[in-house]
Amino acid sequence: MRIALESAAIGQGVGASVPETSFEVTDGAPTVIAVETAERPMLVSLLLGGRLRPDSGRVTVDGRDDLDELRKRTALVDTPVVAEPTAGLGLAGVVAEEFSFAGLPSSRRAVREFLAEHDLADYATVPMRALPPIRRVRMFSELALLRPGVDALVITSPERHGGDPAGWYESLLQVAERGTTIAIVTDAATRGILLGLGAKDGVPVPELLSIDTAAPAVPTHAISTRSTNSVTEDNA
Amino acid sequence: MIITLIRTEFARLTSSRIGIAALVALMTVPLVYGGLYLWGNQDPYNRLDEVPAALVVADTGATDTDGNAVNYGQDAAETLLDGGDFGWVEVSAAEAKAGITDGTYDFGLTFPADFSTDLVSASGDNATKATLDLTTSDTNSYLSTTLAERAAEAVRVNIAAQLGEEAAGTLLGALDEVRTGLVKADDGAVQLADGAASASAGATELASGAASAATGAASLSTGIDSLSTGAARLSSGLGQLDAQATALPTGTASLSTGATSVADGLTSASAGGAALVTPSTQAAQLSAAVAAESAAAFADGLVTPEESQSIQTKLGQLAQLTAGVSGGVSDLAPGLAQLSAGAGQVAAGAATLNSQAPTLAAAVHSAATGAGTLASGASSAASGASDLAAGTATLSTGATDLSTGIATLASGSSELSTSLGDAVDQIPGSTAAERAKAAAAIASPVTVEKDALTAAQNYGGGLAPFFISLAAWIGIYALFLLVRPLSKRALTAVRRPIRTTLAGWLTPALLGALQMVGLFALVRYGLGLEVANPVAMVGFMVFVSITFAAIVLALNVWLGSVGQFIGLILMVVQLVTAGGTFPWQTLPAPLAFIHQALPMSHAVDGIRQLMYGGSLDATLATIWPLLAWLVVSLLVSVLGALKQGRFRVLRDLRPSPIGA
Repeated sequence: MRIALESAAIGQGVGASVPETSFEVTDGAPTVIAVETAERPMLVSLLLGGRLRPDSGRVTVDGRDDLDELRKRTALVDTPVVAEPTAGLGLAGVVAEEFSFAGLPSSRRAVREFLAEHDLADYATVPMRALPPIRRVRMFSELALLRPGVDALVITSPERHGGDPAGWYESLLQVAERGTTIAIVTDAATRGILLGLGAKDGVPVPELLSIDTAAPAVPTHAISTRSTNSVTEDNA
Repeated sequence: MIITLIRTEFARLTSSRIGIAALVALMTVPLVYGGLYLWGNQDPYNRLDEVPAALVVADTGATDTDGNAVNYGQDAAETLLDGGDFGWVEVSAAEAKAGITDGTYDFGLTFPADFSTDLVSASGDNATKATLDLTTSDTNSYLSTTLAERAAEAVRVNIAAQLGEEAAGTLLGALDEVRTGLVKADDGAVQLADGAASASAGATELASGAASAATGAASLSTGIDSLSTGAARLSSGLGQLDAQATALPTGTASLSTGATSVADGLTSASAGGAALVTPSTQAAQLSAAVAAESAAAFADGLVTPEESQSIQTKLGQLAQLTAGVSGGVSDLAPGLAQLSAGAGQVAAGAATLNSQAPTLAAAVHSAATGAGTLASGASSAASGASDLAAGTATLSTGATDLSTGIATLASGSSELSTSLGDAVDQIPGSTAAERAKAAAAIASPVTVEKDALTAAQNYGGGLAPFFISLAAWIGIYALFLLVRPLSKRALTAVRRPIRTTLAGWLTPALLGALQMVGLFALVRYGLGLEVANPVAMVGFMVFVSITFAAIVLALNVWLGSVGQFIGLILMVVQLVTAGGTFPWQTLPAPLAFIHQALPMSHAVDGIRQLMYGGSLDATLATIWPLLAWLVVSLLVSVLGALKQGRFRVLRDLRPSPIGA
């Protein structure tokens, strides 16, 4: 499937919650979208998942303005505020909850089987906050795909748990290879790493990610955060 | 999904020790609130003896109508001190004033110096109301002032009843004596009436007799009058007769003489008559000779025919005359003879008469004298009869008046008897015991018979429905400080608004139910408050709590922290309008309207019904509005979940300005 933001924005001007932005996410290798600020990864993820209406512009699925379909087919994974589990909760409980979201029996046995299958049995009673990020991303991706009709995942800020992006990117790549459309909303640093690993670039616009567009397209570490202010001021 | 969500929420709430502590703390909020308040106010009226109150007895006493020394103030004060309703302390007036001012005493009750005097004056001519002085100060506690007023009123009522009973007893005793007198008077009146009736009959007869007497006397008077007149005439006639009779003997003598003379004369006349016969025969012969000569004269023509005729006529007349005389004489002769004989008899009679005439004269004189006496007597009798007639007329009038008067007396005394009888009926006969009872009833004519259909055990029991309802709201409010209204993960992951909502509601509802069971146990077994229908009450409390949970949930779903804050506002509003303390009807109209609308009012009513044993209908009547709140709140929450499940809004995603 193809999810596209076409000049979608929430709010206006430099103070906009989500500045006007256009990009698209397609099948194949995960698409990486780098955004700024603490809040924007959540908002952009919600836009991608059809769970937030843009104030302007539009969000399309396979070219159609059908947010209901988009919502049904996408799952937000580990998105702060809206999908992130409580840090103190035990793993088994969260898995059971995800099972219930998927309409599956959420018995202890079913949970136990799932954990065993995904090599997480040791973590059954561990609080979420103690789960290594690689396992976390992989587990939530797998759990989200259990929901009927879901064939696209929006992974939000996986870098916030730390660790090596290459680790969880690997598992996401495997998921993508099973035919799932994957968008990774993350920060610029991680984008650079992921691009190096073969991820597609969501082509962030300058407003989303304050990269000087005049500068040549550079890999990862060439991102200049210093230019942020000047661009912002220019736009102002 | 619902159970999993609830389990997850519980897991979240208890995921850390501090989380568990917070949950436990918030769960106990309603227990602490309701329990402490009800414990503190469980039965304050039983602890009023802890309220210090000054008692001042300045009463100097008095002497009552029986001459006994009384001191009602002192008596009442002793009753108060013994009763121990308040913490009474007998002090001087100055101490009382100072003590009430500085808060040593909450209030003071004073029996003034002339308290008994005034009370005793009630049975005298110059009654003065006695005064009981109550001194309060609201700075010591407004409620203690109210209680003091009740205490003073109780004292007043007791003394009034006591004195009233004495006065009424005296009055009733006097009334009983009056009744005895009336009974006697009634008997007398009956006798009087009977006597008067007899007298009336007699008087009527007397009047009729007197009238007859008057009539008779009048007739008598008239008759005697006639008698008198007749007697007077008789007397005068006899007088005249007497006067004439005096001359009678002389007359009779003359008569006798005259009669003798007559007899003599008659004898002479008779002889004279007889002597006439011959002349008359000669006269007839002479007349015939004249007639023959006259006829020869005529035939000789010596006389004209006319003269002849006249002579003839006259000679005829003469002849006739002579014949008459002759005849008369012959007729007269026997008569005279008889007359002469008669005259002789008369003379003889006259002689006899003459001899008797003096006796007659004497007799007539006696008669005349007697008739005079009779006339004078008849005159006296007539005057007496006239007096008698006048007198009997007066008597008759008087007797009639008497009859009328006695009739009036009879009817009056009969009426008197009836009235006295009625009066006796009006005053019921009584024994001393009955009078004592009646006096007590008069002194305190009204007692309030308490017919409580349902009753709260005590003050705490009375306030319990209100504080339980309030605690239910506070408990739910507090829970929502911890519990998440709707699972954001569920909203993001799936579109199942009903399940998500139910899960969001059931979590606090279960905790709220637990709170209610705990609160019930505390109230019922900890504080020992009586509950008429414990099972239903627990059920209703749980129902109230889960209803409140739905309401606060709906507020949170739609308004987030602002909704939670509104939950607090609603609690304050319902605190005022639920009618937990004063009857809600005393609220101003807008608040009274809010009372009807908001759920806590019905919760209070329902718990009252179940706690004090009210009716099923009344309980059901409180369930319907609550059920409406519950259902509507859940529907509103579902709508909120539905909306949020489609699109989120920035406000929901960002931290609320209220709370955290």
